[in-house]
Amino acid sequence: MNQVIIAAAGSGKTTRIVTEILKAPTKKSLIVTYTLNNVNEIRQKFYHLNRHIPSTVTVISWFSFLLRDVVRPYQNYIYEKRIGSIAFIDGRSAKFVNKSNFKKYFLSEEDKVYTDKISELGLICNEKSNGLVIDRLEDLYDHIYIDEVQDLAGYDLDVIELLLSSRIGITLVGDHRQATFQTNFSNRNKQYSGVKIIDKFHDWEKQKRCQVEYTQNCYRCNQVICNLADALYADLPKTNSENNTSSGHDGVFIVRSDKIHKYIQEYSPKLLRYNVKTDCYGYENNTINWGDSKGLTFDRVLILPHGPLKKALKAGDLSQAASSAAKLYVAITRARFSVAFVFDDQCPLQNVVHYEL
Amino acid sequence: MPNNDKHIFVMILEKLIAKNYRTLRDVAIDFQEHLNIIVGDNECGKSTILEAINLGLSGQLNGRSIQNELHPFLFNRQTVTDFIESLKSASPKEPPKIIIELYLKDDPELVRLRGSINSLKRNCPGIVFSIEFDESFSQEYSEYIKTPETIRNIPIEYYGVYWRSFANDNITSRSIPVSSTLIDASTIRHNTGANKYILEIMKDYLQPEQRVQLSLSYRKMKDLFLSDDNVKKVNKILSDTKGSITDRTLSISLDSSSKSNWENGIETQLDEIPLSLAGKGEQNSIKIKLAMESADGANIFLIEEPENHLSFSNLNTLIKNISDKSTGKQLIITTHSSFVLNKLGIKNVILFGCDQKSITLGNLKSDTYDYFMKLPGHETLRLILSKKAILVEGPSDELIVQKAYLKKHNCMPLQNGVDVITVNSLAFKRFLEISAPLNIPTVVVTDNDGDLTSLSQKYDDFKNNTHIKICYDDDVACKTLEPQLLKANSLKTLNEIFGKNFATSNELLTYMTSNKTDCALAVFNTSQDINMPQYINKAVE
Repeated sequence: MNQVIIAAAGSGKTTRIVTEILKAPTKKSLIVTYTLNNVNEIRQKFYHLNRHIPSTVTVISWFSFLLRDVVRPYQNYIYEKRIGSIAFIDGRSAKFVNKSNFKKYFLSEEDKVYTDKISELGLICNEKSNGLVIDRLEDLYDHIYIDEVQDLAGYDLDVIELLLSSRIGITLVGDHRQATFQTNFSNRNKQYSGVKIIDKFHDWEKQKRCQVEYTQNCYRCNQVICNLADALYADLPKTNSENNTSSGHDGVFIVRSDKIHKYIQEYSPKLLRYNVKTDCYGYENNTINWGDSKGLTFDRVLILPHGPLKKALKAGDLSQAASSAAKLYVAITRARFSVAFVFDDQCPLQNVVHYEL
Repeated sequence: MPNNDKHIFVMILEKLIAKNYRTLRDVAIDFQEHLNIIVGDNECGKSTILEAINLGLSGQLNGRSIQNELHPFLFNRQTVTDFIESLKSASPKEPPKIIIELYLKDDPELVRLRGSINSLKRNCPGIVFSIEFDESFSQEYSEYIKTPETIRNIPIEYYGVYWRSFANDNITSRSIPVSSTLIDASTIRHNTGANKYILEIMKDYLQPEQRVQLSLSYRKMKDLFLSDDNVKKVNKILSDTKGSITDRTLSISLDSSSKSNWENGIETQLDEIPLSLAGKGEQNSIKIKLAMESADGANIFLIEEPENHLSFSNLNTLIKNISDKSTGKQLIITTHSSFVLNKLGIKNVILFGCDQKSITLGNLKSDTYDYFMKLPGHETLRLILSKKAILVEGPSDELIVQKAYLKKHNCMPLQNGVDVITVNSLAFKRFLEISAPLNIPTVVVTDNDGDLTSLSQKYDDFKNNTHIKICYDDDVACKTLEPQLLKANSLKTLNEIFGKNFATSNELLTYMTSNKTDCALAVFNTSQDINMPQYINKAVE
């Protein structure tokens, strides 16, 4: 049965995928994920757990997969000239070109396929070749794992739907709470973009295409941090921390801006800002953006809030920062022991300790 | 291999399509799973076929990467001429490209090479090797073609080599799960070449550990050389020259670059004689045997003219070796030898004509195919290799036709590439089935046997074939060659030629009919003027 695994941050999903693959070494497995960082992380996990990547395993980025295994093998059913690579599009490509103008709609001047349309093109290749694309994939792979599935959007979801009804076993792994990136900004499937991708998963489950499973154990953050993160998504199952180690400074803290220097000296937290415009109190060069911290782990983080988060802290209700919930969720769940917010007011949130007051 | 099931993987080349590669302007050849014997005249491009397959599978030409061997003469001359001419005309052509497509039999091991990116748009695993104009040189190219009068060749500097799967993915030799082994016994370029060549094959034969051992021992030997006292002295003297020749320290050492591995410093010996000095025949047979022995089942062997430089008995041994070892492997062999053809089986023959069309005997009607299976094979090869053929039904007809040809053209037919072949008259049509697809101009010289209707019915299939001519006499009173000869000449002339004194034509005819070959030989050898029957004269036109 195909599976969707909604994996809470720190639940060890990469380890889980890799372990599962290593248990069945004769299976031809493909692991696809959106970011190159994550491709590398998965590869490292194989080296770490197994000393090498088995020859039956392929780890590849989403766009490479689409280009190499979906578009190109049968592209001459629609276009003769070789599609050399992809043209990264931030937003929507060739907005005013009609689909009937095939070349201009899908391809850049240099015959590169636009990233917001590559999935759509792949679907056409499969359709025009009468399903040869899927036939070939079925012979190439016994099982396909798609990691960070929440990053996929637009026609990507149609590609997944096609895979779900193929002979290939499909495991989708991800966390819609951490939907901070998006492969594309196509109009297609807009109702399922970002955190709402979960609705698509449940649709598929209703159609018996897959089962949706939540993993609730978190091996990274302690329970107080888990609770704080869970508050961002009140409707979802609660996370259970497996980290019972105490470090002497554990939980969630409020740090006044005039105490930052002292706090940093004492605890060396990683500083996380919303974006480049966020006030960093002189620490601009030592911070990274919330979204960019995805996949990383730190003992302690110090979060530099933007406007909406300040309001939410003041109200004692994190759901007021819902507009950037995914990024904030990522930032909070980076820490093993302590999460601190720079904030100059009283915060009525439960279990929050005001530093040095 | 992580896969433990019993799937034995054999890569099989099902089809080659080559365009503009040397003599292969536009060629499509189908291959059989195991043995293929390519037969064709000299200069038809038989060896180029093997070269093209090897290039497609290995990216190598003459044992070197194609990148280093890229030159304009890889392109078909006619294609180049047409291209250059077109540049001077109002409708210039695009720069020509070389395409070699290898269609492989579908196999689970080859899924990655599967796709439809080939000229037939066929969904199967395969490889496309191409040498194409690189469009990033468009600017330079437009300058180059500004003065077409000065252009003599392809601007190869602006070309790139592309090696891709039918899935349109760039490939390396690692992506192709097997390699090809090209054994070219016909030419041995020079001694070091031969040595290197055998070493290549030996390398495949040796186990990886053995190779590593050899490499290690070789490196140790080099180290030993440098620590030798005499070498040290030499280096001391050299270093003392510092200042007079150069400001730096001069010394000698052994080449330790990656290129100087053991292969380059080692030679193969046969009974302690360097192999390069052994007989060419021996070299060939060792090359072939080693190669057949070394590679595992999944390999394509390309063997060029195994009969070269070998005595008959050695060839016999070698061919036996090839056919024994060929089980589960695909072999593609070119040959000029009907012996090789017979021994390895005529059913595996691919006839490759000078018009670059190929047919396999498998395409022939099954009874025709059975006929050739039983035939010694020599006539078949003669027909295939002839530029023109005259088929006759017996040795006497052959002599008379030869004589008629000599009279007409003042030379023997073979000097003009015309082969007169004696064939059982019942088999004429079977031979025509071979010459028709190969477009070999073929004349059949036949008796009318007193039945014109059945004769014209018999050859009805070839009526409209412009390459095929059926010659016989309409006079049903003269059914065979002998009465025809008598009809064309006086009793006196023939009596003189045969040294006889028959009183009547009937007596002479009876003598001729019972001494057919002797009479024909007498006619052939005579210096007297003799008339040839009309239908035979027509045949030698």
